[in-house]
Amino acid sequence: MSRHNETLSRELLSRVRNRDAEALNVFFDLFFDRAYGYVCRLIGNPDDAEDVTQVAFMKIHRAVHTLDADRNPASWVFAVVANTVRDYWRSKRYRQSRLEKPIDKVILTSRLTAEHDQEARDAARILDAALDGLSEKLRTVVLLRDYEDLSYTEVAEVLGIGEAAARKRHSRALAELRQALERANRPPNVLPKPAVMGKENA
Amino acid sequence: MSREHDRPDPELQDRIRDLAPPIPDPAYRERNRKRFTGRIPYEEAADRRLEPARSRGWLWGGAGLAAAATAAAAWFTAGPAAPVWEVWDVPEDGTVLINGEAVSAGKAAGMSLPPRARVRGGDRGRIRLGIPRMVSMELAPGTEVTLGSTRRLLRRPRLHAQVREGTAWGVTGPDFPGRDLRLDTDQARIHVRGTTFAVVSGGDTTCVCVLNGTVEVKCKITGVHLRVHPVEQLLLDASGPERRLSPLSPAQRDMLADVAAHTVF
Repeated sequence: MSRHNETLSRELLSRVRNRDAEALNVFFDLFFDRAYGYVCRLIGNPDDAEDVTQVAFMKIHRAVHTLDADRNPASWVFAVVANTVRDYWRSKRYRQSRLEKPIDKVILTSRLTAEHDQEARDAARILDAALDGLSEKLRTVVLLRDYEDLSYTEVAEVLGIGEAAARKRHSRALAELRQALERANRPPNVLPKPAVMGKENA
Repeated sequence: MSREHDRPDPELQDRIRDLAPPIPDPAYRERNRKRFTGRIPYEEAADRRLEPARSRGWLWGGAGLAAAATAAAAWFTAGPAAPVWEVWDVPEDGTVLINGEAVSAGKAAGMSLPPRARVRGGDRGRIRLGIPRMVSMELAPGTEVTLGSTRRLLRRPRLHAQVREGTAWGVTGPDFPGRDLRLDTDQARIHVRGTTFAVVSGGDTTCVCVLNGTVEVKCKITGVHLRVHPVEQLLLDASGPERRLSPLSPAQRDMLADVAAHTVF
């Protein structure tokens, strides 16, 4: 069952196109938290996620008159957001932040509150780490398809690739993720005690 | 194929879907909501923070040459110094706030203002500021402006003023032609080229009134450019400036005519 089953009427989308304040408010409520959550999961750093989401919404605001009222606005919104994230990954700021400090994933998993037991928190942390280990391309496709629940057609539209390529990329991402999870869940090997160098010669 | 059946690894996909969504800070969300719904404008520089980094090694040589050329051009073409704004009239027993400090009428009259001075009129009546023979601006009580002028290479200095929360009436003088005055409010960027005008800036709206001459206005929210012609007014708010041009009311016309009549350069 989809987490995002809200729909916008054609009439409301037309009002959004005309920058009607009330309609923009509804549009904002539907997509802002979703976009922030997606960006946060994708880049891992909540501070930078705030800036990226803000810039993405500024672009959406500027271009909202081009929104096609006959199509699902989610794929349009996520296309803008994904492009903004791509700009961020190419930016000097991202390079600097990678050099300065490792991405703090603890903040994301700590949002699992008391209602989740320790086991669930650990599982989420492992999954978070495995997602973080994927390349940016694969992480993007898996989050769009499974976290944002977009169809393959919509994912393809967001990424500007064909549907077959989106399916292939997604399947590769899941396979890599599965392998990473298996590695993380494997019990640590007991390593043989290292030989003391030079003992044989003594 | 339905979406539910189009899942190569349902167990893993469910786990990803069930990851807790990160929640944005409420204050940050509200700030963005106000911007998105047009109640406050987006900062123009916001998206520059994420501009892609490029290899700039080859640019250094070019930048060095350009800097040398600019310095040489500035050396040969340095124009007159940027004009200085002055305080012209303050009501008797009134005060004016300059950069947050209250200055009495006696001391303020004729005072030259430092660059980027922030001036706020007191509550006792209008104050008048200006640049000799170029421009005069009257401020309604409580109106705040930030005044400045910028030197530009090969061109005359640009005069500018930022109007916050209040009303400013302006008249340009005999030495103004060829000059460029830019007025900014939260909603609009207004280019004045020889005219009698008024700018009323409120919380969410800006009204630009023109008695004579023409004023160009750029809406900061939608980016739309418009011209305001004589005896017209333009109202800008969150929905943009489109179709908001209307004739000046007789009262507005009289007020602007009165300002023009008693302004002496």
